[in-house]
Amino acid sequence: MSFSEREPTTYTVANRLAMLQPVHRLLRPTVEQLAYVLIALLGVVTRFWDLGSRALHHDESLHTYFSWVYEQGNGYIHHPMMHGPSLFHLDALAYLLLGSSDWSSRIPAALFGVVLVLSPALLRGESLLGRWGALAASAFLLISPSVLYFSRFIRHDIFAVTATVLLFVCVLRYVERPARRWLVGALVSGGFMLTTHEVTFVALFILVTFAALAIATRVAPVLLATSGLAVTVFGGILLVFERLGVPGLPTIPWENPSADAIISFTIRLVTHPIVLAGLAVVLLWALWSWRLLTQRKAPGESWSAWLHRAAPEGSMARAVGYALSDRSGLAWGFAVGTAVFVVLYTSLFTNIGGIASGTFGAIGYWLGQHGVQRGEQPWFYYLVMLPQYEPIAVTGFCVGLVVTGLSGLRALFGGHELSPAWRTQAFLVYWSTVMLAVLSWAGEKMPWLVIHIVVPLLLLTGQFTGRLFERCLFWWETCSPTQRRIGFALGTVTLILLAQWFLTMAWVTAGPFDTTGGLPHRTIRSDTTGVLRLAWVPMLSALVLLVATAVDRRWRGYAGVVTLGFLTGALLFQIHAGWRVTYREGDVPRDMLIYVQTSPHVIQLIRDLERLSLELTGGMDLEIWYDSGTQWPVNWYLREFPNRRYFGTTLSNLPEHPPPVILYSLEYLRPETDALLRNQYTAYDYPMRWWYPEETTYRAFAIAPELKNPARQNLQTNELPPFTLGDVLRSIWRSISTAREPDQQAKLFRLVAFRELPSPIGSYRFRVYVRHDLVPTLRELRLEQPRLDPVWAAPPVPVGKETAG
Amino acid sequence: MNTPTVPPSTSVSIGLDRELPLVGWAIRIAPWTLVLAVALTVRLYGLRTYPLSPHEAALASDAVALVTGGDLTPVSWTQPLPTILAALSFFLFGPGDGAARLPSLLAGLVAIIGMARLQSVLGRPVTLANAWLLALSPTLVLASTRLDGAIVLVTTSLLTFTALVRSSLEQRPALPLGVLAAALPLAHPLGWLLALGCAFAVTSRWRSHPGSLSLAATSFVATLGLTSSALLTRPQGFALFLMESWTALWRDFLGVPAAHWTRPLVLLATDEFPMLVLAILGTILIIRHGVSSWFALGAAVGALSLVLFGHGSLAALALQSLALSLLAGYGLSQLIAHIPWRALRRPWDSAALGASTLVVLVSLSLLGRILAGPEGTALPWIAGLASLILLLAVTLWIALNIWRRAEAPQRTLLVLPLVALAILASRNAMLVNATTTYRPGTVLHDGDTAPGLLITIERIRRASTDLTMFQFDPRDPTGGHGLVLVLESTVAQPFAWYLRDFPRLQLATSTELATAAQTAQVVIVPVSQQTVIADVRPELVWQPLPYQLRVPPTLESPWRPLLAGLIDPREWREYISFLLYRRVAVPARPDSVLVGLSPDVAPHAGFPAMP
Repeated sequence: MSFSEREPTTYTVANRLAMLQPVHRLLRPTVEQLAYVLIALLGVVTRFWDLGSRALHHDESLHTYFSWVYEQGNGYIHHPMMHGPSLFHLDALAYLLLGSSDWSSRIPAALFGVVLVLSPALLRGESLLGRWGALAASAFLLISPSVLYFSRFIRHDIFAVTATVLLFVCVLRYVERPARRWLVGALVSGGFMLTTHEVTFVALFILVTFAALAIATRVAPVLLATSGLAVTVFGGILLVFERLGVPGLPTIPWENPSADAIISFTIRLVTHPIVLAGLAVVLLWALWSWRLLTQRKAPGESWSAWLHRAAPEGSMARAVGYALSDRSGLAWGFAVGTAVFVVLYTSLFTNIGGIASGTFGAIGYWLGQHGVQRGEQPWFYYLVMLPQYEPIAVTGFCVGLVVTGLSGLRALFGGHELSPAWRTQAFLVYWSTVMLAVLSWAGEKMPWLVIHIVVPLLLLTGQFTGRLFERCLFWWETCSPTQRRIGFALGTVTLILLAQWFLTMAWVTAGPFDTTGGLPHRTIRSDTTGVLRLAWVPMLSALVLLVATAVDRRWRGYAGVVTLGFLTGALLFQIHAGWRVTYREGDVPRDMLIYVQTSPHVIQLIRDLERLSLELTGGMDLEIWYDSGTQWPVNWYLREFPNRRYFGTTLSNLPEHPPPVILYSLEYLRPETDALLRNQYTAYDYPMRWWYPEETTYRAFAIAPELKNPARQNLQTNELPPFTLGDVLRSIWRSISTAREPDQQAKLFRLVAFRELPSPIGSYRFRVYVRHDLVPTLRELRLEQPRLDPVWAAPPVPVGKETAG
Repeated sequence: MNTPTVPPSTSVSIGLDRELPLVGWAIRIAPWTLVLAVALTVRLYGLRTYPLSPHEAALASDAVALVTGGDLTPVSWTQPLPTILAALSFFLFGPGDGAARLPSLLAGLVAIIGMARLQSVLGRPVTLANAWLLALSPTLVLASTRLDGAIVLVTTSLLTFTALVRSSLEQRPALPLGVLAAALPLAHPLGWLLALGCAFAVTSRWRSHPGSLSLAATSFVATLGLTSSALLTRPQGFALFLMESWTALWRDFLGVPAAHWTRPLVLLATDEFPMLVLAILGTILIIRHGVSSWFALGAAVGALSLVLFGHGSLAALALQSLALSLLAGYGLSQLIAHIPWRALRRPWDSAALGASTLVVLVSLSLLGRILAGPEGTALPWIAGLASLILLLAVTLWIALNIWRRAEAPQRTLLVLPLVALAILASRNAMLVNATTTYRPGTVLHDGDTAPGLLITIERIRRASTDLTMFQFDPRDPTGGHGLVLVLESTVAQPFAWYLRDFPRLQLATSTELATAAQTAQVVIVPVSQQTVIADVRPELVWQPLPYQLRVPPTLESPWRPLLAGLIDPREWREYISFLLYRRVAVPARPDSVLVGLSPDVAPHAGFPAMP
């Protein structure tokens, strides 16, 4: 055919039709595609709806204020205390595009939250989560209360966990199918991940150690032995040193990291016997391992070629082999990843010192913080928090741990190969377990860190749920209509039984408040102790139904349906918990997930002041003074008030024309200052921030001997430190055994189901001084304001039924 | 780099690869989706504009009590289904006005979907017309934004009817039918009458199948038992439900025949005027076409029963609207079918329609001017009149000339009443929840809470925050709800609902009031009880507060103005004004209650500190 000849018409039509294929596919989506579209829509709605209504938390206000300063052109200098720089860049960008507000501050977090929800779609492979598994994981991430709450919270954790997931996705996909894009993606994600939060070092540790274990198991099991030996030797050395009275490692100068202090610390560190011994052990181990490995490799053979030869397709070792041989991919990935890291840590090349503070500085600072134990939360903090909000993830983890362990042992003793899906499962179990262990060990435990544990748990649970769905669907398609009807009925009965249990527990535990001694406390209904035991009958029946259907081979198909009944119940509970904590009481610390929050009264006050300013000055020119105790979040909320004035902690006299409003925390307010101010001002007291009452809710669960403060170690009995492991175990048993008591069951149920607290929440208070002449105006303005959603306290008390006080 | 050979990353999975023909679906369900979208918009628009009425608040309080384990009042035993649905909504989304009304909103949408299920029986055009009428019926819009069981009753009635009509001797959905029939009395006491009708219908259809009958009866009883006892957790619930529901049925409906019998008629002449017109048209056409005279007869008997025994309640009015929509749907579908839509593509026919519209508009303007009269300025009035007559003559001449060239000018004219009815229906639907000054001039808002009540609630809240912010205890862990409140029991709702987080809130009967008020910081009582309190607490600052909306007196005895409005041309202007704006000569003043505040609370709530 010559160039002048035209293509046949049919070809052109076919070509056009081919061009229309994507459109055609778009118009005929699969169930899976539509499900992801629906999840994406719900993700956007749940993450963005009413995003700005909750007051900014103390830390949020720091982040937003410094982002705003950055956006205003006044620069940003990285400091490890406020973690990585990515948040500040993203928030500054949000302000640049949308203006500064509480709402726009949380936009980047919400966006990453949506990405996180959709990220399991990248793990749809059969060797990964499976298609149903990925879909289930997405759905679980969508409705997870903790993930939802912290996707609408401008802290670094949502960025860190999303980047971690993306890094792990890239690695898993590369192991599954070594394409360059995943290698580059992993390195870029890793680069970005390190600009988010120091917890990502733990994620990196998890990835590296798992990869090392996987490679060693596959190509050189002897390395496991040498590593074990090295660890044992090092442990022995530590024991000897302890007996010899060798002091611990030098303290990190995180409070005053001057150049001299850092040099002095570095010298003391590298010359410390423990460090020297450790280096010696590592060196010996490395040399020995190297020798063993080179013996296995053919002479002249490259490492990548050896890994290709020694490891099967689809294994971690083989993937590393591919990566080592893909020099261009590695170069591109490192270049872009490093560029992201450098650009962000140097604040767009305006702070070169950021590179040092982002690497050694960050690690040093947060290792130093470990000893500070800010918050003084005990080792079981996450263990008691997780079941309250994430029953699905916790159940999935327990099942995953058992199933993965058993399958692994069976394969080990049976000598057969484990499936690629098992390896993903094992990775998720490892990720969850190590993250839980490390975060429980770390000195600072905060509720926002929980999502670093929850996300792998949910991915793991998604994998199991996917298999359950597949089995149920297979069973559903192969069974008769009568069997389907029975299955449907059993699922419904399970759900009804769970609802029955909930309603009965609610009724039995809704006794009147006893006000006879000290704080009023909820009692169970009189003469219902027996009923409380009966209340467990529906739950036990549902469990018996599950076990009975699972045990009998002929009924096993129904077990899946009954499990789905349980799953639906748990989903409804998570919606209940997540909705309340996210949209209704996001700034009221009745939830363990909240810890400390700025009270909504601060927002109310700021709105009142804005109206007063508009009324008096026609703009935001009202003069407002505030002290050190109120500066966060007031620095942020008064950023548009040019006449705001920060006066530190002391105010000894007033000028001739005193300011209209003064905000003073009760922490720094002295009686004589209060007397001085009351001459010219009317005072109102509000909580600046308030916190969850830990002591009366969960702190007495067990002894926490790791805490430095002896008074905080044991809140359960009168025993004094030191405590042994036996003491800790006995304290746990005491807590478990007291759960048999009706009162304890009732207390626990009402706490988890309705967040009924046994004691009031604590608060940090401040006083608002309004100049006498402005009080009538302010009062008038306040009462004309649109109604804010009120802070709902305890559910209604049955009237007239309280115990006489 | 070596090229790996790897398995595909994903494999075929059960269920997930099924392709969904969105285009085909879109064509099929687009009209229904549009109806649902319009219905949702109209309902969402007014979902929270009115505070919960005392009855709604009582049900909502009981729903919270059901979830949290509190004791229930007789109100919820009368209507367990709305209470349970609200309880589920509260469990998921927390207690609030929106969450309380969410089940009603969804039930309203389900009713439209239920109508779609009748396509195979009534035909697509009729069911679609019915769906539009359901979506825009002000009564049903209002019922869908109220937690009182009315819309749940309507929806279950429709679904029961659908199940009955679609069932055959071969396919007998006994189990779902029993469940649906049980939902009727569980939703509202009037449901017993409908359930009885359903029982007759089922028995007559399935009498040769006792097995199906007994299954339906068993599922009916089981549903009643399970639901009324809230899944057997309140064992006394079944007996209480029967007692309270039957008592309410007799006390509020059957025992007071013809009470408020004018309300349904007033409603038809006002809010449901478009539906009335179409229903009359539909009835005439049904009889003329001999389509299904039993259907028209049934609807007429039903409507008459509701007029007699419905007590003018929202449930009765909603059922009336549902029945009417079935008739009106036929009329609307026939009206649409008679319009030669293709003819409108022809220039002369569309020009004829345009010219006719001009004639109608000029005529209406002229009529309005004539009815308004000179109003003291005769010359301008006459001049205006003359110019309008001239204009009318010109437009009429143009219209006649165009008509001669058009092919089907008469039938295209049907577009005009259709558009007029559509505009009126949309306006009525959108404004039924509006809180503008004249809207309470409708029977549908009788008994609703005055919107201004929330302002006082907010003032009490702010005062409480200022005064008791740090009075914490486990009943009020956040503090700020420490005021001592006493509510007289007859006006307790919706105050008890809106102030439910105040642990020191106490309900008192009129006899207990004087004692309870002695330590109270806020007292809310009917006007008649003020003297009782004033004796023991003379220092209280009293403030009247609009409480419940009432029907304007004109609408309680509407015959003269209504009939006159229809017959007497002089009243037309007023009638049209009322039809459009609900303006009445004497608006009803809402019932009031009195709020008494102690002198320390009053200034914080924005009231004077001295009595």
